[in-house]
Order: sequence, then C-alpha cells, then structure tokens
Amino acid sequence: MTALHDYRRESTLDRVAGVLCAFFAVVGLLMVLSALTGCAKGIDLVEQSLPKAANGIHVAAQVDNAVLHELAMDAASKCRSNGVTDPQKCPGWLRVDSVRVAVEEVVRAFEDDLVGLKSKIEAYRKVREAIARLKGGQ
Amino acid sequence: MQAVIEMGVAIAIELWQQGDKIIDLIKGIPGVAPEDVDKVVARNRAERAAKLAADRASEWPK
Repeated sequence: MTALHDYRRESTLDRVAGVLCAFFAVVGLLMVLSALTGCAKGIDLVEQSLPKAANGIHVAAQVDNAVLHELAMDAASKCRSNGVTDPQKCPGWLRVDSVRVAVEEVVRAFEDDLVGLKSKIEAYRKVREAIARLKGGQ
Repeated sequence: MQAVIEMGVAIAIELWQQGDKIIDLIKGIPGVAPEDVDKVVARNRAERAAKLAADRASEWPK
C-alpha cells in the first residue's frame, strides 16, 4: 500500500509539473508570436488556456487529497482504537491534516497566479492595441 | 433488433464515459465562449472545500 501511495504521489507531482511547464512554455511562445506578428490570436489562446491549467492543478490536488484521506482514515482509526475520539488529540491525524491544509494553500497560490495572469493578459492586450493605434497614426 | 439495441447501449455508454472530452471538444470550437478562469477557480475551490469537509466528517464519524 505504501508503494502505491508513493507511486501516486510521484504521479501527481509529475502531473502538476507537466501542467505548469507545458502551460508556461505555451504562454511564452504565444506571447512572442503575438508580438512578432501583431496578431491578437496568440494572446486569446493564452487566455483560453488559463481555465485548462486551473483544472489540471485542481485534478492533481484531488489525487493528493484522496491519498491523504486514506492516510487520515488510518490515523483516525488507530486513535479511536486507543480510545481517542477528539481529532485535536490525535497527533497522527493532525500531521496528515496539516499536510492537507498545506496542499490546499499551495494549490490556491497557483490558482491566484493564474487569475493574476488573466489581468496581466488584459493589460498586455491594451498595450498591443496602443501599438496598433500608434502604427495607424503614422 | 437485439444487435441494434446492444449497439445503441454501447454507444450511449461510450458517450457517457467520454463526456468530459466531448465537452472540451465543443468548447474548443471557435465561437463557443470558453469559461472564465475566475469562475473555474471559484468552482474548483468550492468543490475541494466540500470534499475536504466530507472527508473530515467520514474520518471522525459522530
């Protein structure tokens, strides 16, 4: 069972890393293409890929949470068998739960970045429009 | 007739299983408005919070 957990953890980390690497590689490439060609299509694609990146991170978090839930169930079961019925007095469960809280914090930080990226894309779009206007005025 | 029904059921099951991919495909068609990242993040956060509450409740049943 431990080996299965380890495999699933590695798999989840790989997935998060893959989602982020692919996403930011695409963002960079499309922004360069957008600037070189003056075409707004690239930046539109970046904006459209934001929800997909958010969903990828969400799915990865769900896999992590499923593993942590199993570990928390085991820890809670051990405490109950020792007569402990208060979660706050079960160190094993508290350890697992603190990791679960940390997972949520990390995922939320990623999500905040994605939402922040959207406002930066809007700013970038305005810059592109200003350049187009300047070109038109020449 | 039996074969047609079986094929229909098989197609329905396949469509059901591939539902997410089909929705993604439809959303990818130009002109179909993609979802806003703010809404996706809010929905995902609510889903995770509900799941976490349910997990904790099942770990410590009253």
